[in-house]
Amino acid sequence: MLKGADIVLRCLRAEGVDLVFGYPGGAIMPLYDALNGSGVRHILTRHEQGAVFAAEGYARSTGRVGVAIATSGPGATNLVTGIADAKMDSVPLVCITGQVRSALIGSDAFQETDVFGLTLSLTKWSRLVQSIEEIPEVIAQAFYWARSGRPGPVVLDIPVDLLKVLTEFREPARFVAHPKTAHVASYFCEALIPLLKKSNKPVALIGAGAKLSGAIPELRKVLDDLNIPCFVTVHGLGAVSAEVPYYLGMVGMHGTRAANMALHETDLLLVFGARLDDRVTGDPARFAPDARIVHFEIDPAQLDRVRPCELPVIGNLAETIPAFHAAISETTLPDWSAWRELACGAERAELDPRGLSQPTIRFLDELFSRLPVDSIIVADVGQHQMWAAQRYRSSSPRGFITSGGLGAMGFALPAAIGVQLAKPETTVLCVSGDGGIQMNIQEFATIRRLGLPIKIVIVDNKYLGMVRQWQQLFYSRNYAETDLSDNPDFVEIAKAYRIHAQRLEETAMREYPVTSDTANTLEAFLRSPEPGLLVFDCHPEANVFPMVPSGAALSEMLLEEDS
Amino acid sequence: MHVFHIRYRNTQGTLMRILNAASRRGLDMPYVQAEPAEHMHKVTLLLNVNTKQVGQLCRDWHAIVDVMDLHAGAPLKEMMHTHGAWQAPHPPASVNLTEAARSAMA
Repeated sequence: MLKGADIVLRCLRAEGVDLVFGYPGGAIMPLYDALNGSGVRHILTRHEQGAVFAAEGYARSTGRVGVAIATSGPGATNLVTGIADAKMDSVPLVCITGQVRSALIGSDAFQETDVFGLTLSLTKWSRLVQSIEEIPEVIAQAFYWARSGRPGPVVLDIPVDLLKVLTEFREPARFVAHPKTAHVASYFCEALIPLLKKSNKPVALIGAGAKLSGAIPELRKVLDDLNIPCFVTVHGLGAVSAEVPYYLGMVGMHGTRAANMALHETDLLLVFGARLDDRVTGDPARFAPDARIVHFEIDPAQLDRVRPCELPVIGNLAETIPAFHAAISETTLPDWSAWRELACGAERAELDPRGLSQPTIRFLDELFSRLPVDSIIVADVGQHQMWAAQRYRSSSPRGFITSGGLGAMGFALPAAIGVQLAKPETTVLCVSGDGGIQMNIQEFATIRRLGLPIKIVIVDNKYLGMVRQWQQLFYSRNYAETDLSDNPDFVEIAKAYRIHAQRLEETAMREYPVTSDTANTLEAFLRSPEPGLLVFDCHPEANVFPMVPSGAALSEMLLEEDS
Repeated sequence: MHVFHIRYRNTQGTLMRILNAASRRGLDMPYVQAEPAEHMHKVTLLLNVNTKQVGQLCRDWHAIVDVMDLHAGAPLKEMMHTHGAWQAPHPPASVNLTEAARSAMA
């Protein structure tokens, strides 16, 4: 005979879970009571949002399912932002919430919320568990749905009485999904090859789906064979080596000039696992106006969101990309060298950093260039995120982690905890802003308790920088409620958490090359076996460029301050 | 007006997920009928949507784990009649009361 809580933990172990993130409370106490000796390690964060973002960091860096646990009511509602984030960015996540006892459900009991209803539109699948007998089956289903197809978040809401009651338990369940109509068109290459042959200006756009499928090696072969201009979304960073001559960097609102121009001018857009959201497309009506679109995608719901694609290729990219590769290997492709030279040529090459953002960009360059290979950068949301994405040069597919679709400030610090626990030997660099860091700054305590050697950078411009940038450019410099000039002293705060911290003035980056003192500071910061914080003073009015204004076409980029 | 017939496994929340795909787009649902259909369930929805929304809805519904298949078509006469009787998106409770019931409540 086992209690429901023991059964939950046994089933988690059967799914390969050995690490969970959470925060205890009344309705989930039986599960915490059973943790000891279960084989499941629990990481206590200091807020449930920290737990769910840490679980996301774990999942994003490994591809495994992240698990977050919280109690009923406020514990569960504090998970909601992370659940929404996982939905937008296709992160496999299982959230387990305690619920008031079954007899009280619906009575507005203490700490009761309708978590099932609350998360219905944010989850891929969810269940309010109604009997102890169904726990094994429900957990097996939860993990199946979280990791299958387009990965996503799942919520299991378990009434506290079910965690306490005893029942016979034989073994964890296995779930076999019911068959659904297959949409994989194995003959897609018959249509795609003629489209390629007719094209004069083909390009390839790589998104997160390509990385999630595990098809990166095969995709790189395809791109090498095609040798056409290629660019990535923010979640596609690392999918393509920055060294290959046809790589144009990131595309979209803060993408490179070359990538945005190539996307605007193309006549055939090959999309590999990208949602084509509005940050990538600019004005949908003027998105790639001359292009036919071929969309490789696992989730049919992502097709035709901007405009119809000529050829949807629905299926796991791990299957469709090799099929495509085989097809192009057997055909003679047109000579696209003129187009490639135009799109990838020096005329459209990246401008040297200039303007008020130059020192910050140089700071990130200096930092990134000193990172060991296979380091992981976890970026928060805002200007620093875009600068970091623009300067990212690694070809590690899971090396750049950020909240892309939801854009949830406060993501980076707790996510970095999950990443560091998943990859203890890897250097994890958390890049945050002075706004974002304060949204989950309590997780300094988690980092200190665990002694995680996370390197934390705060790009401190004393503003909510990205909002301020928009206010500057589009709201006549009316900096309404974005001034953070009364920020606390982050160095002193970190020291209160017993985390070594120091500040680097912007002037340190005005010399090229940097002085040996600055170089030593950066080296020591990155090589320390302890957690560390480096606060970089950024000019308050530094802006991120290029920038495609909201509602503009990709070709209408602002390139510098005076544009 | 378009009518959609969606077959689904009647698991927790599946009907709500189906309806949510419409409600998140701010669409009124003048006609909704859910009923058992062989070994599954079927919901019929009448929605005033454009071609782009039809595509979006069908893809959203298809992505729901327990939705098995769906069809779109022209509405039946009786649905339109029902729709015609409800001029407002949220009719008062008395709209469908019989005369006898109204008298009883008077």
